[in-house]
Amino acid sequence: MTSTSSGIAQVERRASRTFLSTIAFFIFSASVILALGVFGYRLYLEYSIDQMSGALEEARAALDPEAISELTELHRRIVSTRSLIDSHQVVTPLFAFIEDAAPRMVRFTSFKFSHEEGKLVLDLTGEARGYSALALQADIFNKSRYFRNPVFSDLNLNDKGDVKFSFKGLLEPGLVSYSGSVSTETFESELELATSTQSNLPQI
Amino acid sequence: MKNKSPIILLLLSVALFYTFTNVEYKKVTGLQAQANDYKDILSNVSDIVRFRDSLLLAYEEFPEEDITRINRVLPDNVDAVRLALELDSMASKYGISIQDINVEQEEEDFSDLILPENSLPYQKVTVSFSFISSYDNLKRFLSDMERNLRIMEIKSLSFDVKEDATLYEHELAIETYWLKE
Repeated sequence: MTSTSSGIAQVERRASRTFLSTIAFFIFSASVILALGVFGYRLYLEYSIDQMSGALEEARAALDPEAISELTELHRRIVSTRSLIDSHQVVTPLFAFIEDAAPRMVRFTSFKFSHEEGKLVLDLTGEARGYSALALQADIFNKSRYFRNPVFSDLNLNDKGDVKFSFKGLLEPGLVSYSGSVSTETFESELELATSTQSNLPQI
Repeated sequence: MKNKSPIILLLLSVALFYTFTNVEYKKVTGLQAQANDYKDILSNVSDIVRFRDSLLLAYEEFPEEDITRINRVLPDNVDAVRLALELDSMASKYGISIQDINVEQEEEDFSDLILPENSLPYQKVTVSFSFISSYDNLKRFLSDMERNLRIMEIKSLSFDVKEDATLYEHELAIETYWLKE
């Protein structure tokens, strides 16, 4: 009886060892197959990338890079030119405006147009035949939509009794815009405003 | 020995995975991404070729004269001497002689290297000079500059009007541009 039960136990242990060995062998085989598979796939990918790289070089050569760089440069030039023309400014309408906006009894003795910190600044000095003429000039400039913060200062009488003055104002970019001057509507309406202001005010 | 062989096999499997398979797998992931990029690019090549052909066709329809003109609007380099010559020939039409020409080139902005998308595709040069002319000729000269094919931006202009004088001395600074490389 005892020898029978120990025989059964031995058979069970052997069966258990065989089962464990099978599992271990299966896992080992799977890990070797996996390793070979990954290695093989890497080789395939490297070969495939090499082939595609060659095909891409051929395609790049066929695209004619010189022609493309010529097109790219023209595109950059057109885009830049458009942006420069949009922001292009012209000073000549300013002279026309000042000429029309100056009453007869006012003369300007200096002119300075400049860009200061991105703002358009106009500095003028002049002489007026009396304070009423200067008041008329100030009224025209103050009513103009194209001057921001117009300031008349340094008022002094000279030897002839004329009033010397300085003027400083920030220009509205619309007055000196090239695209605005091409249409000229805004500028012409501003001139009309200056002319009507002069005719509505009492003459000196 | 027989009892230990399953354990040895399991240990070998783990070692193989960590020392070889896992390392190779990481390489494969990178290569797979690279291969996908190549596939995408190659599949777009035919579209790019079609697009390039349509652009070349449009480019060929541009009159040669217009191309020359747009190259003059924004030249490839500043060419200060040619610029001075251009200004002088414009001025001489009105009997104006340009004096004291000073060319000041804008320095390279190295912040472009940090934010290249904010950089301008063109560079600027400031040219300042003085001249003597009548008021009417000044206006004509300025008008020519403002409408010149090569863009010239008037940055500053100043002059004094002397009593009983017909000619005045003017100080003028203009900005002009050229296309960066």
